[in-house]
Amino acid sequence: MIQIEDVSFSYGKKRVLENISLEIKPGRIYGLLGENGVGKTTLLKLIAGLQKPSKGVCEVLNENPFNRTPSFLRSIFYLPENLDFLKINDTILGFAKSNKDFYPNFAMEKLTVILDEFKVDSNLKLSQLSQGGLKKAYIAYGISTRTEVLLLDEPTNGLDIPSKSVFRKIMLDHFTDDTCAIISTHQVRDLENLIDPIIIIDNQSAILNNTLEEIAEKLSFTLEKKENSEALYYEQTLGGYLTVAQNQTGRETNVNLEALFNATVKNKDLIKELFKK
Amino acid sequence: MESQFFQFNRFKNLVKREFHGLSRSKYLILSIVAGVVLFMLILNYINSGSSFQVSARADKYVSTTRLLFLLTAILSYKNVNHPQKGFIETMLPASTFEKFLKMQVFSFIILPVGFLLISVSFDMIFSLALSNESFYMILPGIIKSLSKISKVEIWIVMFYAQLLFLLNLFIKSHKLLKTLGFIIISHLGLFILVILVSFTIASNFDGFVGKTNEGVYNIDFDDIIWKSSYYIKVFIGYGVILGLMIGSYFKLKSLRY
Repeated sequence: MIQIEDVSFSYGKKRVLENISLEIKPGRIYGLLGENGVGKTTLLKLIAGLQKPSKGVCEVLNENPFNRTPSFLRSIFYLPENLDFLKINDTILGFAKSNKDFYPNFAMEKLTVILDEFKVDSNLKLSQLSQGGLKKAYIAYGISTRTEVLLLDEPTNGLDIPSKSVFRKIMLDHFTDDTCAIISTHQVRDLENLIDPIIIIDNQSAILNNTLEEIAEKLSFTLEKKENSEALYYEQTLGGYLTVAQNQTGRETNVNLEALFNATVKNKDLIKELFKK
Repeated sequence: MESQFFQFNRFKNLVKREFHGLSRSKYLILSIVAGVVLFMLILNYINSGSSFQVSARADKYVSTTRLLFLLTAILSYKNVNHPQKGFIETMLPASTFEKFLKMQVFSFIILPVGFLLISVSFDMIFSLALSNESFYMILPGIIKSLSKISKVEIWIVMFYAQLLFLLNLFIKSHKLLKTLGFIIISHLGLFILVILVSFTIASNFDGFVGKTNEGVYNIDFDDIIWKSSYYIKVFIGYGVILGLMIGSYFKLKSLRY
């Protein structure tokens, strides 16, 4: 569905991405993780056609995104982190009405259902909504466009606790086998049980792009009584040490996304080697 | 197979969308400008006590329309290349050409004509309320005022309108100030260049002298200026304006966010 091969990108002299390669398949909700400034948002923008790679090939649904053809644009929805552009003097239903003709699969009923689930007052003008309300309204609109590719940049930022679980439910309810979503986030706990596979990038490469099952096959996440200096990563928690180590026993454990991320950042080369395909 | 360059249905949807919701503020701005123009005319009428002639009013509306014609692209589409606000239009499933055409149609046809219509409506209401003349007299006044605009004036306005349209796509912040700065500096540069070239030509020129089989003839300096000015005019009228439009299209196509 999405092919990224040796893509490099820089903002002026500042190199953000270098020779990144990724493959995104349909029917999955990818979690895109990375430290601040490694280029997660830039990667989403490259996929959305809002930026052009300085090197390499980025192909989405067999098209070059930067050509921004109508057929490409109607199959992709991008939710940016900052939604100030949406503070307009219109309701989300009015906004949707003026845009729905561009999306052949747009479902107005779905929009109202999701707005209800999110408890967003659809009679309020977008300029009157809070940041969280604005985000919920735009997420509802985005899902209702029923595009094949959903790109969501920090979708749970600014959402209250009940809305985070509603978001997870909505994503699962409205997701189909021929669509894919990439969710860039720092709030991994908000998206546990939703995102799978996990992509972890740094400026240089995609360190990890694997399903939770593959990760659990190779790594174990256990609560130990003592520090294990041999482990890839450990941190003190209530009741012991959350430890990430190579899975020697073959017994699969539940993947802890935060620990996985920390272990990956600490052992980039080793993780890369471990998950080499 | 669906055309990725232009499809009337998509263009129609873009125009429909522009008329809907998002552009309400534009009509409000047009009404405010028309109101301000009329208010100034009334003030002038009250202060001077002079007769409030139709032709003077019509001229004022037409000249304000001309000014708006130049500025609507910057006023209406100031966010088109904004790093955060501009992408929503770009991500809309329509081709760049359709978006470009819509911007041109709104900037140079719908909004200026809209302003003129609002002005005429306000004027009619004013005439009915305050003046003893027939309220529709403003219409022939407007037509007369429009017919007074020469071809050269139309060319000049179109040239600057397209130049400002293109600059609007390049300049990201402080648009009005930077555009004004660019216009002043480029004109100053052009003025200095013309002076330098004129001096160089004038100091070396005594009239071209050429020989033909029939004998000697002189080419008049005025004749060259006249002929070259005609070609320059044609070049500016068609080539440069078209060039600016093509430049705007490609700039719009390659905007990054």
